[in-house]
Amino acid sequence: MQKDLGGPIGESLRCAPLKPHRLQEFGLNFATDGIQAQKIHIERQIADFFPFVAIQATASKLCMNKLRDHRVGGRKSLAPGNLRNSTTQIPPLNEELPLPAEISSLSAYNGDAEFHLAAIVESSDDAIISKDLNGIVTSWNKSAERIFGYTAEEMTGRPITTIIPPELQGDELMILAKIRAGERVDHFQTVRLHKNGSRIRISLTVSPIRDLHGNITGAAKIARNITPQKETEQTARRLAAIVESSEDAIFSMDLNGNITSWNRGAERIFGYTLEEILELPVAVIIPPELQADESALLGKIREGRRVDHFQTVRINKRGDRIHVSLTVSPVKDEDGQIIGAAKIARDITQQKKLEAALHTSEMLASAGRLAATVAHEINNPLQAVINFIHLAKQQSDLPPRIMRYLVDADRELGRVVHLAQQTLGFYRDNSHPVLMPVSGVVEDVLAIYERKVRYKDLKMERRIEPDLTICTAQGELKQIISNLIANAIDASAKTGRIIVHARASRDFRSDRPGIRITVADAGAGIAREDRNKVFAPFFTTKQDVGTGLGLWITKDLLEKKGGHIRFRSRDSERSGTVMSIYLPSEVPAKCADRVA
Amino acid sequence: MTIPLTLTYTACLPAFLTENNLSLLQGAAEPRSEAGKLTGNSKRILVIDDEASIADSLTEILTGYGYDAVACYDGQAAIDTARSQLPDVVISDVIMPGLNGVETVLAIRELCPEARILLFSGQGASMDLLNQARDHGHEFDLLPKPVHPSELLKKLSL
Repeated sequence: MQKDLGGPIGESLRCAPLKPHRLQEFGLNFATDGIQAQKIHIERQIADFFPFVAIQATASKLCMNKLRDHRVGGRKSLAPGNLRNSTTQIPPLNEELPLPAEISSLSAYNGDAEFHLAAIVESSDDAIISKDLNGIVTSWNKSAERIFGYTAEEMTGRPITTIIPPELQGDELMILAKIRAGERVDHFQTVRLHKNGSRIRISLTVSPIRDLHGNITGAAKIARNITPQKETEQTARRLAAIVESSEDAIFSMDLNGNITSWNRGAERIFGYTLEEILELPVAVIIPPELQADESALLGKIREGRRVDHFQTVRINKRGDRIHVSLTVSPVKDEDGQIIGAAKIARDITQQKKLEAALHTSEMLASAGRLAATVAHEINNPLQAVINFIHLAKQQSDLPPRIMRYLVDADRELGRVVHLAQQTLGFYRDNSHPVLMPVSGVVEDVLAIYERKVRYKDLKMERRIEPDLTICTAQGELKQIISNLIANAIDASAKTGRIIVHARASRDFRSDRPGIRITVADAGAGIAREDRNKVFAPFFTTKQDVGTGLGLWITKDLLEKKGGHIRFRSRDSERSGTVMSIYLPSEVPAKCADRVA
Repeated sequence: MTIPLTLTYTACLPAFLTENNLSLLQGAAEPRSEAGKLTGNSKRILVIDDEASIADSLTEILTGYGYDAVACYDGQAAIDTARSQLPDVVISDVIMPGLNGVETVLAIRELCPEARILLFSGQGASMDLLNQARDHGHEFDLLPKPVHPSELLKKLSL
């Protein structure tokens, strides 16, 4: 038996907050054991969090009372879980209701609860929209207005495709097909159009709306605006790409100093892969003597301070030391708590080398200027004095004692000349190369140091290939050998031994013929930390007596001629140093007619 | 009337030894080179150095060994002397105020193309001047200063 549930309801029942346009009118013939609901308005909103049903019915008061008392009405039954069931499975009511008692809103009976739920829909940050199976919008909440720009009045009754970009219209058919099949669409990320034409990225959840019999009558859509989230993601991706492609090492660590991220730049500079170093203490790349700096640095980070362009040294996987410029900033979580540190390390090893080279060349330049000035000031008076002594020696009536003085003075001046040329002799011997016996040159040089050798009681061993000759500028060869022998003598302890070895040799690269001269001593050796400095200008281990120019000039002379100098040294007691030079011979044609 | 005080006059005079001086030199203990014969060696040598003590002493030494040596103290005076004396050998310092040694000997070479030229210098900067000259096709021997007189005499005898 079907009865019309028509009729007005009292004012007191009209307090429902739902607007009529927000209700789905099903025109449902609500038949339950002699009770007919002529018009029942159902809005079924299924949100992720609040599946609920609001029923608005035109029914007799008695009917509604029954509905309320037995199944649908009442706060108790409006609990979300209950409502879903009660909507679809309303059990039969036994009592026939008097007619007509029109009730415009069941929600009136459940005013508080419905108000609450409606308020949730209204205040939701997500757009909550319902549509029928033809895709016509049947409800549109405040957030939908905010997100899409259309008011509820504008959209109700219009196709949902209004907000779907042209190229995605096919999606709607797919969604509707799923809905018809009773399936949900969960967290579907897509794009919709704002009223102003801009595109909005949304995450969409669509669920079928069922009537009380379980028939699908439409769809409820919940759309979350994920544009800001997407933008954040994009920004994060962009930043991640920048970090990954950076030439600099960018890595992070927690407040215990354990590494939490490691970019490609860090892999390249330090040699460790991400897998190798993740969660290891950052100390693995810090030299032992600088470990304390790191804890001081972490202290600053804990205080929220940055460290900018701090130049320091780190160790790569191979154990090589690399110069880095370090910038360290605190990393904060969402609450602003410092949870670690981000480090950017720039490899400045090359820059440091260039700086050192520049420094050296500046030193060379100033050395050159100094030497030029001093050389002029010393060499000119020397020339005059040598000339005067020579003139004095020519006097025929000189007492033998005076003559001896003059001869001694001349010889001592010879030492001064030699020293000046050795240290300040920036003139280049541009005399023609001469073919000369190497042993003769070595003997000439040894003669200069004879007194020193005697004083130290050194054993001077000569191992010079017989008939070994070289075609070169004599002055330069003398200077080279002299520098090596002077160093060997100075390094030797008393009664030590020096071996001068010379043989024909060829350059291993160019195969150019030349000579190799080796001067070995059993002296103090060169300290490990000094070994890369021995060829630097002004570097000396001889304290007050060394100029720090000898080996530098030797190397310079040799390299200009296409030769080279190497050495081997140990710094343990009396293990000594072996200096070895290779000097190429000039083309024989150049000196064929100038045999010395 | 103001007399300018900054004028410099350079006099360039041949240096002569007296007979007395020569006899003194003959008794010197220093071994002599072939060029040291006091007679029969009439090579004219022009010695140029802005330091008079060097130019004079060297001239005196060379004269003692029988050369006809003249000292000059600047480039221009040397060129003027060369014009009149036509030297066989020119020994010149390189770094000098006014005309430098290379400019001077180039001008002298114009006047006396046959003259043998020896440069001597104690300064690295000389190399730059020599390299510049070489770039223009002029080669010179360079002796390091100080050069021992015996070395110089040996060089002259070659």
